[in-house]
Amino acid sequence: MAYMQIKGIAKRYGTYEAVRGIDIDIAEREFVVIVGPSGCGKSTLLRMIAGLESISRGDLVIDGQRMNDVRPADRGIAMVFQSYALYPHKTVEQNMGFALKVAKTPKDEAARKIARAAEILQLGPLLKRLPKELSGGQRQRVAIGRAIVRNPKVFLFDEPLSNLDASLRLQMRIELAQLHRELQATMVYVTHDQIEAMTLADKIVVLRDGLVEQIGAPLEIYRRPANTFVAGFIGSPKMNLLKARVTATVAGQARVDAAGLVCDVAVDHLPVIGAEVTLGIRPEHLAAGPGAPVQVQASERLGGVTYAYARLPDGQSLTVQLDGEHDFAADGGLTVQPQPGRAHLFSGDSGLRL
Amino acid sequence: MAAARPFPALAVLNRILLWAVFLTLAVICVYPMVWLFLNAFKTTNDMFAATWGLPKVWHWENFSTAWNYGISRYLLNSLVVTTATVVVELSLATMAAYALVVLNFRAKAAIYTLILGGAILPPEVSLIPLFRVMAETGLYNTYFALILPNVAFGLPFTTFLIRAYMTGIPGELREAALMDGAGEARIFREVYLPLCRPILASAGLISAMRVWNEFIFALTFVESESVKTVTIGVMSFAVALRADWGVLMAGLALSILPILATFLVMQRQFVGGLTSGAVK
Repeated sequence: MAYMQIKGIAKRYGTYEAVRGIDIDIAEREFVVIVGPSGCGKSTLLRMIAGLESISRGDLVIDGQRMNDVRPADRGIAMVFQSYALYPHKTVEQNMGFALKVAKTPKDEAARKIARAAEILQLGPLLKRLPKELSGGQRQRVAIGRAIVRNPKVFLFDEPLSNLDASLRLQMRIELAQLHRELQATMVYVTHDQIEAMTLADKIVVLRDGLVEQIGAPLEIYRRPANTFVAGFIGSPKMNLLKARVTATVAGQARVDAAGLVCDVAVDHLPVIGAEVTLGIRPEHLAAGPGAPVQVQASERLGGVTYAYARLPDGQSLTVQLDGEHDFAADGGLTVQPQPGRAHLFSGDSGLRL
Repeated sequence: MAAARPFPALAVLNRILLWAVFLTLAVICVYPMVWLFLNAFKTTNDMFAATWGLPKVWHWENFSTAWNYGISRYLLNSLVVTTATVVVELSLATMAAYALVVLNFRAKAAIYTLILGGAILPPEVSLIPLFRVMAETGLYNTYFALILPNVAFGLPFTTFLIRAYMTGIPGELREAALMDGAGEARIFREVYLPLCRPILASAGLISAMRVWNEFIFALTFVESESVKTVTIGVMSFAVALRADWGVLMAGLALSILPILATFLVMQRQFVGGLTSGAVK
């Protein structure tokens, strides 16, 4: 049985439902990343798990116990806030020790726990400092340290890296993954950054408008997105979603044509010939070669790879990932071909995977 | 750098004008006090002979005379009333402000409006009803007759100031403390109070100055020497000492010294607190 169960949880503010009935099972020691665009209800969901928002409908069960009406501090949960929320007038040591002080933990035991957390997070030399004397990354570590000392059953992270610059974010991402291995703790992590989701998660939950769009392992979601929303959200640069028409079908396979870009796609649900569908193909799964002619509008050379932003003859835009050394023709003309077996097909009406 | 300016002469003139205006204002504000302190060292004859000059002989004994004349008792009474008022007022106002900022309860906006509404009521209007209440309850002619109305009339503005400051404290700090297991009382004490120190200093100072200089309540609600505050005390002093201006000035000087000293010591906090309250 799952360690933490989110069963049909919803949050209503007046007549508006921010979270509209979400079911997630989380195993012990699992790292679950909840991802979605802003306003999708991911932070609200996390705050309901933490106990900072009441649950309007549904059940929250942790380790077999229903937690809906349990005080935040008694749920066995620690939370790391986006703003870190460190107490500005307390030193690093006092910040980490506050929960222990409230819980009346004996002094020597508290000191041991703080020392251990400080060691894990390399905060030893900073224990006597105030938060304002720390850098962003160090503050982040203190916030995590404050969670660690409580020895919680579940860690919650609310966009913890969004206030850091790019290089620090990468470093903290690696440290968080290490921390998860070291602590062997269950973690629920909210972000709008799909790279954090892909790199940290054992399991990704994609949310939109208060509902779950897909739950799965990172690569599973990357390889088999359940609908056009997930397809467009996970992966960078975004997957190309092109209007296409089915021209032929054989068992388990459909041939589609998107303004000259012809592609054979494996499908579970065979569309009828002539049906309007959405062809999904990632920029990295397109290559320069004999195939569909496109007109390059702009390009970005990143060194290792080059992104070409192009248009199909019917005006649909298309991003293509090319080799970093690729030379463009003077007139911006390019022919591209899809890599076999890498394209996705979605229903033209519902957007669901075919 | 000056050469880069288009009209250096004009800039200098501007500066001179500005200084002149500020200097004039400063003199207007400070001079009466300087005058008071200078004349406190003179005899009555000296004062009439040279009102604006320095004392020929510095008569320090004016101060001891005034002190022994009863000003010590008035000062003590003022100190008691002011301290008690500030302590009670700040405690009530911070708790009210905390509730108004972080807690969700029914009719919160209405209650806040009601508290602010108290600031509109002029103390004079309530003098007679309050006098009756004091007489009925036996509070008349006690310290409480001054402390309670002073607290009541100070609360609206003090609550307003502290609430404005508290709204600037991120709500996530309280949530983090909730996750850490702290209850509201503990969050108030260990998170909000320490962070409110600057505004507590300014609000306390504003309230102390108001209470120290308060006149109407002190005139109406107490009569015996043992509870009279310095504002009323100095007035009766003036009646009794009509002939001896030097001693009278010394008494007046003594009566403003404590609050002046407090203000000078806490000046920086005061200015900081006012502005930080203003922009939030």
